[in-house]
This record gives sequence, C-alpha cells and structure tokens, in this order.
Amino acid sequence: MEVLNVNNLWKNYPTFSLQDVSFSVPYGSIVGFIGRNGAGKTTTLKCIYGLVHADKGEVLFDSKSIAGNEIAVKNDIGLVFGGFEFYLQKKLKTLKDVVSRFYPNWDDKSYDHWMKLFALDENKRMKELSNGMKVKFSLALALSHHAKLLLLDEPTSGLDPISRDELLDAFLEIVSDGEHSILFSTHVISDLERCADHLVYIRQGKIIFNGMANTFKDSYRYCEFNQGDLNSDETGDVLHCRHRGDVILGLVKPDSPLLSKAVIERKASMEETMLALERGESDESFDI
Amino acid sequence: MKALIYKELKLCLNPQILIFLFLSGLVAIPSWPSLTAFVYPLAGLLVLFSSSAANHDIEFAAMLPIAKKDVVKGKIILVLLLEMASVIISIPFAIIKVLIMNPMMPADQKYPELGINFALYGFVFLIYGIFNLLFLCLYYKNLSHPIIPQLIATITSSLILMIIMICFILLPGVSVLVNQFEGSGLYLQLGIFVGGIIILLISSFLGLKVAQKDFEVVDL
Repeated sequence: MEVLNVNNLWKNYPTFSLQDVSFSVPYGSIVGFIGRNGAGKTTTLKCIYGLVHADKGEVLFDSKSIAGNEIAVKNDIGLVFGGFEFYLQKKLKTLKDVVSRFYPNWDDKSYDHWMKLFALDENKRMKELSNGMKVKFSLALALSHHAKLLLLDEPTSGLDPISRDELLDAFLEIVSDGEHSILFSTHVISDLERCADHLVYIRQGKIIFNGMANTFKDSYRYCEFNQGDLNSDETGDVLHCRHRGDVILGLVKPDSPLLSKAVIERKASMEETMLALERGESDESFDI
Repeated sequence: MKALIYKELKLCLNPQILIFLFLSGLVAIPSWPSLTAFVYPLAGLLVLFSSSAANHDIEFAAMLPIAKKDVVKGKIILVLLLEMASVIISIPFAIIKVLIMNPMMPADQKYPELGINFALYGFVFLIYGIFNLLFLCLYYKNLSHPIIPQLIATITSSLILMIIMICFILLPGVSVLVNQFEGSGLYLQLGIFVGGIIILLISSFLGLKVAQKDFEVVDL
C-alpha cells in the first residue's frame, strides 16, 4: 500500500525540465530521493506539494488526487525544506503558536517531545539558531501534527555528524509504526545508507533508478586493478575509471568478467555508485 | 480563516508599519491639507509587503494547510484592517484639530481646501481603494519584481490625492459647500463618504479576485 504515487510528472523550464518522473512511497518506508544539485529533487517535491505546477502528470496521496484535496492532503503532509529562513526575528514559540492553529491534529505533547529531543529552546529567535537547529525546528513542527508523510528536502544539510545521526534515528522511529513514511531528498548519500528502504535517483530531470536501496547498493562493485592487467578496451568497461599510480580503480557490474582480474574488490557504497554515475563517462551502458 | 488572520497579525505586523499608521494622526496639523496625512499609511503597506517578502511569508503561508487563494485573502484582510486602523487612529486627532487647533487659527485658514468632515474620509477610502486595486492586481502577477507595483500604486494614489486637492483649490465654491455640516453640504459629504466606502470595497474585491487568479498559477 502506497501513501504517495507520483505518476508521469513533467515540468518544463527554459533551462531544465522534469521528464516523466514516476515513483511511489510505500507506507512505513523511508524513500531516499537522490541526485546532484539541480537534478530536479526540489522541483519534484514542490510539484508534489503543489508549490510548483506540473505541466503533465498526477500526484496521488493515499490514492486520492492532491489536486482536488489540497487542504486535507496538506494536513497529512509535513514539509521541511533545508533552508528554513522564515521570520528570523520571531521566537520559536511564536511560530509554533501560529502554525499549530492550522492543524486540527496538532499535538502539543508530541511537539514538546521533539523540542526536547532536539534540545531546542522555544524562547530563542529563529536568527539565533544554526542551520541544523532550524531544520530540527521545522521537523519538530512537521512531526507534531501527525503527518502521514514527511517530505524532507535536504533536511540533513548543515547538520553536524551527531545531530545527523540523531535525526536519522528519529526517522527510523517515526516510520517504525508502519503508518508514517518519509520521502527524503539529499545529496549526502551516506545518510541514506543507514535508513532508506527505497531509493529514487534523479539525474538531469529523469528518474534513472527507482527501487529497493539494496538493489542499488548491489548494482556495482568497487574494484582496483593493476594497470598491466587491463587492456584499453577493458578499462572502457570500468565506470568512473581513474588511475592512482599503477592502480586503476572504478566500478564494474557484478556480472562483469573483469571482477576476476581485480586485486581489491568489494561492494560499492551508495555514494561511490552515485558519484561514479555522475562523474563517469556518459555512456548509456552505464546504468543501474 | 481565523488562524490565517492570527498569522498575519502575529507574524507580518512590525513596529515600522504601526508608526506609519499612526502618522495618520498628522490630520491634526492646522492649516495643512488633512488628506495628505493618509499617504503615510500607504507607505506602511509598502513596508508590510517588503518585510513579508524578506521573511519569505508567501512561501511560509503556501506550506500551511490552506488553499493558495486563501494566502492572498489573508493578506488583503490584513491590508484592509490596517487601512481601517489608520482611519480610526486619525479620528481623535481630527477631533483635536476641530476643537482645539482650528479655533486658534485665523478664520480664513481654518479649512484649507478640505476640512475635517465625512467627505475627507470618503476620499481617504477612495484613495485606499485605488491603491488596493492597482497594487494587488500587479503584485501577485510577478512576485520577483515587487518594486513595480509599489511604484505604480503609490504614484497613482498620490496623483489622485493631488488632483482632489487641486480641484478644491480651483473650485472654491465646492470647497465651501463640502465643508458645511448642514443642508446640501452635509449630503455631499455623506455621498462622498458612502461612495468612498463602496469604491474601497469593490476595488479591494476586484483586486483580491485578480490577485488570487494570478497567484494560483505562480510557481513558488
């Protein structure tokens, strides 16, 4: 059962376009939405929430079209953007006082829980918060109205490693009841290694991978070869092929015959795979 | 809608805006065209939209569980509330002018063109209505260029204010008539007053509808 279905979304800008973006978010899951800056992550999230109008396509929340149920759906979605820069002169308690009035399901106990967990003082003004604390505050707001789906755009950017770790723990706790889900865009792929069940990878406005995170992890092997062991044709089969002294390193497909020639071979991390796909040769044979 | 108005009052108002509203108290200055005092609250409205833009108010409001058209409605309700507040603030100062300032002035300087009366407030509502219509119709069309609607709405409203004042200078008979609190003078005042209110309401409603339509298609 999916809480969110994005079907064939198109959006054209003069210099960029989303092309036929489709994916879904199952209940109780964390879906990582990855891609480099400018790949279309934020535009897609904005299309889902209705902040940007898609040229074509539809977004279904709980099998209902968002277009005709804007207010009800927004009540069930918590939206968090990484660069939370609203009302910097206002105190957190003022913002909470305002925001809470819009949500019939607002839960003060839950709000207090998250504020305590994130060690936020609601007497502080927004301008006194670090970027990470701003994200935490907007997350506390989003989590306090029992949203079924959290749409998080780069929530961990600007967070120190400990805060990031705390936040990822919080994400796992949120989805553990099977009733909440998270769609989490980031370019910090290591965050997703820990918590994402599904992965959606967008590149230049197109979805190039949509599936289980483990499938993505298993799609390439990291290998190191002695330079003399590979001929020039074979190096062409190594994704993001680089030379370090006499060693050639890069990624190869798990079924590649080159694996037998590798001196070091291991599962590629998600970050290595994404980096290789982004920085490697734009050869169509390199896909997932 | 209650939550939205609460949000507007709690987050969007700032002391600068209130200072401009209180400048409508300048109606108390003797021998000075009272209508001019109501240009300052318009400057306060410009501050309101500028500070809202600086605080990313539109993006903030659009993330709340409300329809996009209500984002505009909330702002227009706040604008009307501020305009009414400026009128209410000016009333005690207008009374001070009538009861204390004017008796101290030479007889020929008591009522410069348009004195304190219902017609004055009718013209205030007219100017506010024109400002609302122009500003709202232009502002939500292209949020990335807020200075153009500010310029057009402010300059046009100020020009109309000047034209009204010049008309009273060029037509002293009308000036004398409109400052009378009896007979046809009073009827004229009340007609301008009611007309001003009607123009304010219709202009603001039209401005709201155009702004809602424009804002609906804006990508944030």
